[in-house]
Amino acid sequence: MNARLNVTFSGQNGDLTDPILYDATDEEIRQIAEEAIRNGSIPGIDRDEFASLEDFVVDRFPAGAGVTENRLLVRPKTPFGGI
Amino acid sequence: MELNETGLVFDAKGQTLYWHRPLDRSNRCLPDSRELWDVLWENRKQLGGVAHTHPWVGAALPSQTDLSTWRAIEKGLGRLLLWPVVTFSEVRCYGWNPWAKEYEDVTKHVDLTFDVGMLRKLSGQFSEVEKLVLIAQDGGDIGNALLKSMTIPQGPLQDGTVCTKCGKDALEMVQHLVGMPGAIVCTSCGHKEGYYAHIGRNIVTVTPLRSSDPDTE
Repeated sequence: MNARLNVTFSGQNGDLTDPILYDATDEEIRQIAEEAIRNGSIPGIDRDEFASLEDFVVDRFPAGAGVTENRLLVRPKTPFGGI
Repeated sequence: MELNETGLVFDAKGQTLYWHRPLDRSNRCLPDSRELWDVLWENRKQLGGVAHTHPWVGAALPSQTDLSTWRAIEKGLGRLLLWPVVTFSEVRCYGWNPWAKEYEDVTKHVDLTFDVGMLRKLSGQFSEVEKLVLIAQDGGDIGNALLKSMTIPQGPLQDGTVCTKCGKDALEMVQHLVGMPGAIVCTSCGHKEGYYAHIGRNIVTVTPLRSSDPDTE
């Protein structure tokens, strides 16, 4: 099952041109996104060879009513407090 | 009263953009939230920063989670923000030092203000008088929770106050209902002066509040 990968980084946002597996792990998805930013293959996000998506998380949105494709969104984590 | 970490997103002038009070927050953490990220992204051009509470009395120091979240959000937005940490006794602001590559206390350099008072209240900090007003107005779960921490004495009122209806020195504190504030009742004419709760060694009527009541703070 494929999904479209959307990434937000450095104030920019874009979709990876090729679909990826919806069932990939969060770590795999982060690595794919990070590598794509480093080689400049996400339209809308400037190439950054030192890009790091450490502490970014993956939101999963399966296809459903009104949405024809599975979507994976990589964005910064937002928790506060804790240890 | 429940204590909960609370967040406040403010703009470059300190004006409130968004109160972050997710249902799954606790007194020790604000969990990861896509909704918060959406707010930050949509307001990214006018953002000043994000304040959050550590709802206890003490030094306003960031946790490791705070530090890594700040860094991640700034990487995502492509810009630096101000990160205030607010306890019930202190406020400190933090910013990224690109040379030292770490967050440092920049409080003394900050000249904007944000709604610290409301942030603390939404985290559970109320003055003793505010708690009593809540008890009188609510009388339900909130009131009961607050009353558990208070002592409700009984017996003659010995501060010299007389009944406003008959003028006699016959006011007495009566346990009105279990779990509710006590009532001040005139034993001569039956007139009810109001409700009260015990605050330390002082006694204050709650409804109606009277100007002759001793200072509660």
